[in-house]
Amino acid sequence: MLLWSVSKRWPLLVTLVLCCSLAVTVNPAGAAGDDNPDALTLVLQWHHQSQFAGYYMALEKGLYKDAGLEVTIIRGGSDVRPDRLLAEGRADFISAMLPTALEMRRDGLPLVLLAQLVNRGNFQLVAWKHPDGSDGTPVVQPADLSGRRVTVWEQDFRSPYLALFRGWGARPEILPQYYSLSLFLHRGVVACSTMRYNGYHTLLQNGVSADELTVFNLWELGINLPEDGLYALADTWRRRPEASRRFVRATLEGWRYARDHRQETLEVVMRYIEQEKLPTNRPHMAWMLDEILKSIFPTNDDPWTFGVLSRQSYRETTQLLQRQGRIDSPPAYQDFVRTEALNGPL
Amino acid sequence: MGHFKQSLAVRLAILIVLGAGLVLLVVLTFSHVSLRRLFVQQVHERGDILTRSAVNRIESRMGRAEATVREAAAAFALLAEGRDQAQALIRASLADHTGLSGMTIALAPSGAPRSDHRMFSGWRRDSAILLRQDDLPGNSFQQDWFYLPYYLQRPVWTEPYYDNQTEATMVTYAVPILRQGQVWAVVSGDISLEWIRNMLDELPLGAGGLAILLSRRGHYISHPVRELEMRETVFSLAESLATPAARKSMADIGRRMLLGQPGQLSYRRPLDDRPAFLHYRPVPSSGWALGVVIPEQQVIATTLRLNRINGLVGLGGMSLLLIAALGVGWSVARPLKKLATAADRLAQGDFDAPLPAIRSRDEVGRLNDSFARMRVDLRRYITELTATTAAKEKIASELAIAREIQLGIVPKLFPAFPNRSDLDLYARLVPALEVGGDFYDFTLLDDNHLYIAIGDVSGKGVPASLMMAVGKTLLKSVIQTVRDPAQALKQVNDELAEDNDSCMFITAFCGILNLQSGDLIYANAGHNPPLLLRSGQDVTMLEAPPGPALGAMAGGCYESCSMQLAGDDLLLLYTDGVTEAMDPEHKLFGDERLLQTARGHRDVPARSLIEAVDAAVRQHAGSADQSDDLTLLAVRYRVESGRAVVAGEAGADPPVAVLSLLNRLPELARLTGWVKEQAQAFGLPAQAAMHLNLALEEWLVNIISYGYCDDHEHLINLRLWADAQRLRIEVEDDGQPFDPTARGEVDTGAALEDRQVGGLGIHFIRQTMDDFNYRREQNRNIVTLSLLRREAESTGEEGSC
Repeated sequence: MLLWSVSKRWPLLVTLVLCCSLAVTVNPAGAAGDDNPDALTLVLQWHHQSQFAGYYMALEKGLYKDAGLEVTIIRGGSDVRPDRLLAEGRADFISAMLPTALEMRRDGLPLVLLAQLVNRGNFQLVAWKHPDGSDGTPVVQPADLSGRRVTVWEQDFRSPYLALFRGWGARPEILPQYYSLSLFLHRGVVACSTMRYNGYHTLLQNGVSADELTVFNLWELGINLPEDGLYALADTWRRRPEASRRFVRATLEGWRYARDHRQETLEVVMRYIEQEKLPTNRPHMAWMLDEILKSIFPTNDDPWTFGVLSRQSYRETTQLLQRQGRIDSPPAYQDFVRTEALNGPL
Repeated sequence: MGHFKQSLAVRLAILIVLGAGLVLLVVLTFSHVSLRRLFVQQVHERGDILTRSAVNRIESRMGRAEATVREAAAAFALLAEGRDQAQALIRASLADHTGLSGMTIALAPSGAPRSDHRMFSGWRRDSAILLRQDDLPGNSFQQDWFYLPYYLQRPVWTEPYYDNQTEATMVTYAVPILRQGQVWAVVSGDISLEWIRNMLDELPLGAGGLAILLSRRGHYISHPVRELEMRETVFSLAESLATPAARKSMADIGRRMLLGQPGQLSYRRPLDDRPAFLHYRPVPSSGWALGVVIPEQQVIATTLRLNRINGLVGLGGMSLLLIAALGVGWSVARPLKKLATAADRLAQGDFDAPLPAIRSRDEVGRLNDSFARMRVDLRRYITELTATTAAKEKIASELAIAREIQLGIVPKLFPAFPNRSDLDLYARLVPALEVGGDFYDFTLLDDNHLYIAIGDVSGKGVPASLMMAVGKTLLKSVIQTVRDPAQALKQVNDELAEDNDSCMFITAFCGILNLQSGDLIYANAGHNPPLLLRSGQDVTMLEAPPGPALGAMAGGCYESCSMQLAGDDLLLLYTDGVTEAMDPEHKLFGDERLLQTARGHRDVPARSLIEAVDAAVRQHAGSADQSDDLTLLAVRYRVESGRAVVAGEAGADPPVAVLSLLNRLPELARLTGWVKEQAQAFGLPAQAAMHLNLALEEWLVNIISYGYCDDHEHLINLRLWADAQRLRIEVEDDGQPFDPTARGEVDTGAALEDRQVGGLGIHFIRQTMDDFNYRREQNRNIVTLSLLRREAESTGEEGSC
């Protein structure tokens, strides 16, 4: 999902920076006492961007503070392992996609879902409409990708695309896709995977016209995996239900605020971007904010409820992962999803 | 503006400056347009040269880096994949090409499973070259520098990136090494882009000019606004613009620049909507695009600066021109002003006002000369005019005096005869503007005889007035002695005609009115016949056979006529100034109108009649100038109550003896015989008979000699009445009217030559006859001589007288 090229030496650097920031932000005393505000740490699954705007706004507007929480937000990135931070007790909550979380749980991390934020997926497959020039076979439907080179993300992001290819009878040559879209832009491949809120717009910002592309929105093609959700260790939830619940409620409130105050939210996002000197720009963040909000807050036609993972979505996701062999036996919905986090009293 | 209108110098200066200003404006506009075109052309040339040179420099550096990396890759492909060789190669390459910041040789994960290393990196720190081996490169393989050449299987320049370690923008050239169609290793070299930034910063682009370097994807590699670098693409920046038009415009420009072709563009910058010129040129090796933006304002500013200088110079020139124009204007206007002052003084009559001393021979000088000449001419003219005017004034004054004299010599005192209740006389002379020659005259010759005259001298002016004076005076003096109008006119005519070189003449009418009998004897010398206003009858014109005008020709003969005025009859004399008075349409007053006027005023006093006629003439004339003297004389004779009418007395009895004689002197012999005969018959004493004979003889000689204007035979009738007391003889002739009784007593004491002709004969008749009367009846003169029949003693008494 990285849209900028990164030096091959940056992991070293980022690790260094991360260690410093952790040293500063993480409360070494762990959970706070009753007298003090509850100190909580949230780890994002990627670098600061509009994808996490609700968290920023909850913090920014004092919603966490009002809930008696002292929240620290840690950025994600390829150099950050949220599962590890969670396991080591250095973080209380993480933001993660549902498949990722399920795979973490498969790998022994006892996660529970406190709130499902992104209910509509953002996965896309973007293809050059005319990869071989105007005389060649155009890409109109997924099957047109057969025999052609496409890049797809590795590991936990791979599933929906495999489902797409299978479902639509496409047999492309799949190359790994990492952080950049450069191979696609060099026309080294015919298609690549993007997030609606991110990569697609990056292509446009790299001078690609929308009409040069054929876009397959996976959620429109029957493959809708719930994405970002808020997770904690089951133990955390058990030990600090009240604080957790307040955190969840404040987070949702933050998202609502972000939805209702987009310009202000964008300013805050950009401030995070500036602090991290991230190579992105305001229009891109604005786009991302708009798109992520669309996938979080249901409109009248949308079947989901804000913050809630439906049993059906859960079932579909687990079945898909099972089918692809990524998990063996999924946890029961009621074991995995802590709906009380949303509903309990503040 | 007042001064502008008044001062020639200022006006001249303003007009010149306006004209020059207009020219300057045109020149400046033209120069602005052409300079602008020139500068735009220069901008294009400069932009072209600058982009070309900058691209060449970038290309040369990148080309060298490319060569080094390619050479390293070639060498590494030939060498064994041992770690020592890799290290040596990196060190040698970095040492060889100082432009390279770092170099990496990475073996593909699947490429060389038995190799003793996976990845070697070398980089420059200060002057040293550091090396690092990484046997678990992990996600390094996921980076573009490896990922792209690995899958593209060709050398590739990555997108530029910000390297946190060196804190610089870097770009990497990566060359894959293939074995059996598989990428086996990738050799990459990094170069810093800081130098590009510096180079672009130093491009001489002028104020507001900027250079940008776009990556293949539109990222700003170099931009004057550093925050944009590596974060924004030309398309993202476009997206942040306010209007869809600006967004589209900027995105279009970005795509155009990245097409790989050089070009230039005049456009409005989407960022600030200001006109600018864009030159762009691709960097072929990396697919980048270099753009140079020069704002049009720069061109305009330069143009304006030059034009400002031009304008200032022009304004300076115009100031000098203004001074010069004012100088010229003043040099022209100053003498003109002085000249105007002199002319003003001249106009006020100051001929000695000094003229400005102008020595120049230009128009002003010539004007001055003309003015001086004009002054001399004017002075001379005025001198002459003064003399002429003086002469004219003198003449006018003399004419006025002449008029005074003219008016002075006619009697003007009315009523003329306050003691005479039987006489109503009034006259008026209304002179025309010029001195004219009308006159009237009247006087009582004795108690019973009134002399009246009216005349009109031909011509006008002083000669006419002199002639009138002469004529009037002459006529008056002659009538007093001759007592016969015809005779008087004849004498006056002869007198005037003599030596009348000026050929002037006088028309005149004169008459003598017997105030006892009402008989009027008159003669006419070519004058308008008077009007007779008889009481109770129509107004008529008096029959007055016109004789020749006085002075026209000597020897003229005039006829005396007689008529009797009854009581209250009025006679109106007038000159042609009345009948020939003209209205503005030159219509004459005319005889008929005169008659009408007179009819309307028949029974009024003389004065009222004259005033009425005068008023009628003035009314007729209206606004027309009076061209001739207007002269009127009216006389009314009133009958005294108890006056005897002699004619009636003699009417009844027939004469006792009659005698008719021809108007021939020999006939007198018959008279003598007839008288002797009658004397004897009536017993007249001898002396009385002799006196009677002599008296009759005198009278008949007088008639025969002077009574006729022709030589025809006329009968003279004598009738005799006799009674106890007296003999009465009437002598009747049809000659010219002549009243011998009207003549004054003869001055017997006067020298013989001074006495009037015939005077002595009448004197004798008076002395010898007891009664001597005259009347005129039916155009005949009737003289009655009466002789009392007495004894000798009475005769003696007679003789003693």
